[in-house]
Amino acid sequence: MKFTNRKKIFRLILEKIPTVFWILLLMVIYFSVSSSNFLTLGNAINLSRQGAILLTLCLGVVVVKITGGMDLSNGAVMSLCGMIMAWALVNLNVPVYLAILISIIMGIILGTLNGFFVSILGIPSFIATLGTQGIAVGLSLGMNNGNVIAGLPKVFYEIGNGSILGIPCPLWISLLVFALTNLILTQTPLGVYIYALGGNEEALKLSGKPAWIYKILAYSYSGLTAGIAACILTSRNMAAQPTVGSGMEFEAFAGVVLGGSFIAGKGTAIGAVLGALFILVLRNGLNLLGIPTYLQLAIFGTVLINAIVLSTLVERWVQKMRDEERE
Amino acid sequence: MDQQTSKKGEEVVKSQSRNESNRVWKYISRFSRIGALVLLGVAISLLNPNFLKISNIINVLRQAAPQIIISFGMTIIFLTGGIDLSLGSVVTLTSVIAGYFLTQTSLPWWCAIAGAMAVGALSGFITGQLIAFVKLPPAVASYGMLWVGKGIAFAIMGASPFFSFADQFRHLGRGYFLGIPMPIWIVLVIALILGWLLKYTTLGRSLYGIGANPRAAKASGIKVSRTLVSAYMLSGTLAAIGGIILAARLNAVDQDLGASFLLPAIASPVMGGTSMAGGQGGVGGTIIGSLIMIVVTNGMNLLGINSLWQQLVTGVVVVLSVWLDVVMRKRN
Repeated sequence: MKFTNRKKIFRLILEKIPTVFWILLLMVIYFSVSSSNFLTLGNAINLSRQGAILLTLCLGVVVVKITGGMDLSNGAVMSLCGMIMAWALVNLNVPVYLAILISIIMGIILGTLNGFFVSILGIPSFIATLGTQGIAVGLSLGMNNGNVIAGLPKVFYEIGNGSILGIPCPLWISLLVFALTNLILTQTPLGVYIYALGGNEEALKLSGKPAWIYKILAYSYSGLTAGIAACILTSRNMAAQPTVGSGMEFEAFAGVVLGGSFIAGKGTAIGAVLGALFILVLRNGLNLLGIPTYLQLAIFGTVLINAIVLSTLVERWVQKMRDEERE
Repeated sequence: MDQQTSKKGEEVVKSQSRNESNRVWKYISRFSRIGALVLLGVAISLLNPNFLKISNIINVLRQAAPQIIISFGMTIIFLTGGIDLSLGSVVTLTSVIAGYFLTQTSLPWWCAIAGAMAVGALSGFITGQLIAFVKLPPAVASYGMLWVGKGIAFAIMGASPFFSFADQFRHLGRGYFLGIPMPIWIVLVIALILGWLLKYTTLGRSLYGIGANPRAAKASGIKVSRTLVSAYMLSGTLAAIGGIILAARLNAVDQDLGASFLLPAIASPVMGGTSMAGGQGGVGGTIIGSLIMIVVTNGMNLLGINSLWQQLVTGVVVVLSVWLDVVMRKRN
């Protein structure tokens, strides 16, 4: 009896805390033992400033991923939002809050375009977001002839580089986005419908709910986070670069998958955060250990695959235990 | 009694006319992509007559060859309902391996080809194992392999790119046979082999079966895991062939060679009517899909459109043509 209890507790721990958390913990311990610079306040602050961008993107992608879709456009959308924001700041002299609003609205517009393609035109999300990626890349390259926009106002610097109460602003922003995502996914009817879209779209439609609107909203939300991430990124660089976000979409995708969103209908905001942290810590740790770039790539891929394999195996084991207990 | 028969007669006539219109739609949808390609060609040649010059067309086809072959690989994976994000980095890896054999060893040139194809197959084998036996989602498994392949390619190459290969090897990319460039011959041969493989062999039919309904495929005795691994090995090998042709044409390899091929390789089969959900499509459509993308790019160059805006046009063309396909399929 006691034995089964202990087994049950073990099962509950594995079930409630995502596997990626344990791997992350192991990684943090390993890096802090092998590099004296890893577990320092300076590195933590640096990591949180850089990481806030990926973190914010992941929190948008996870919502799309739960509905069973994929967003390949957010890296390019982020670049475009940054370009438009910087253009407005430099050429129109708009106040900073208005520029931020422009960036966020632009993100929402492009995200909604994705949603329109997927939900109303019925194009597979992979292709639809790929098309939006092309549109966004073309626009951000074309609008300033492929050049960087620099010379942003000093006030703008604070968003990416300032601190409030000793905590870097980007971290505050990504924490807010995390709170918002978590709230939407767990506390609102919209969250229920988003999970339902991934779990069984037909059932949601048959229950009389306008499933197509929820689908569009999921993509719009991902666009919104891309717009917010663009503010952080542009402020950190104090310049907008037209191709700065390329490749970020795949990193965000990897983070979300690592955080437990393997299939449609699964995934949480906290999982997305842990997945993003995993990627950030791995990159940062490998850099601090002084491992050459080419090896970093191979190690990154191998660790990624192994972490995902391990998470899947644990999930399957938990499932088996649950079935046994039921019997 | 008379009324009834006339009513029946009316119904027969109605259903006949419905069949008729269905058949017309089927006909249109089957040739819609070729029609789109022809329309595009006519529009561009009206704007710039240079497009229809034989030399331009042969040049376009020669440049299209690697992309078509890599898209063939993706088509096979799409038929099973999967996706292979690692194909771009497999192209880089295999061309680097070929370059390594050609410039750093004294082995004959065909060893380089064999080595590159073997590495492509091996990479596909690993991806296939992860998908078929560990049961990872295809996008996830192949995304991990993307980084592994890229890293190994970087590690082999170090800082300096490989260049100036043996003439026999370069012949594959630049040579002619009966007045037609070698890459076009290679595409034709591969297309014929794959067309036969998909239509007439057990492996080919199993691929469609798995994509259409994995459970039914398993129940009807198809060895699902083994077939999946074969599919990924095949697509890895095709990516290797694409990489070889690319290396032979450019006479050099570098670390960013393959990355730009991934997205066209995803878009081309879909534009050619292969369903990403699996079970539908084939290599013929992929050729048309690739050609549409290549013609759009070539046309924009001929029309002098700034290369900065070209991605936007490509994005719009991809979305529009896939939407057209979705609409056509709904009508049927």
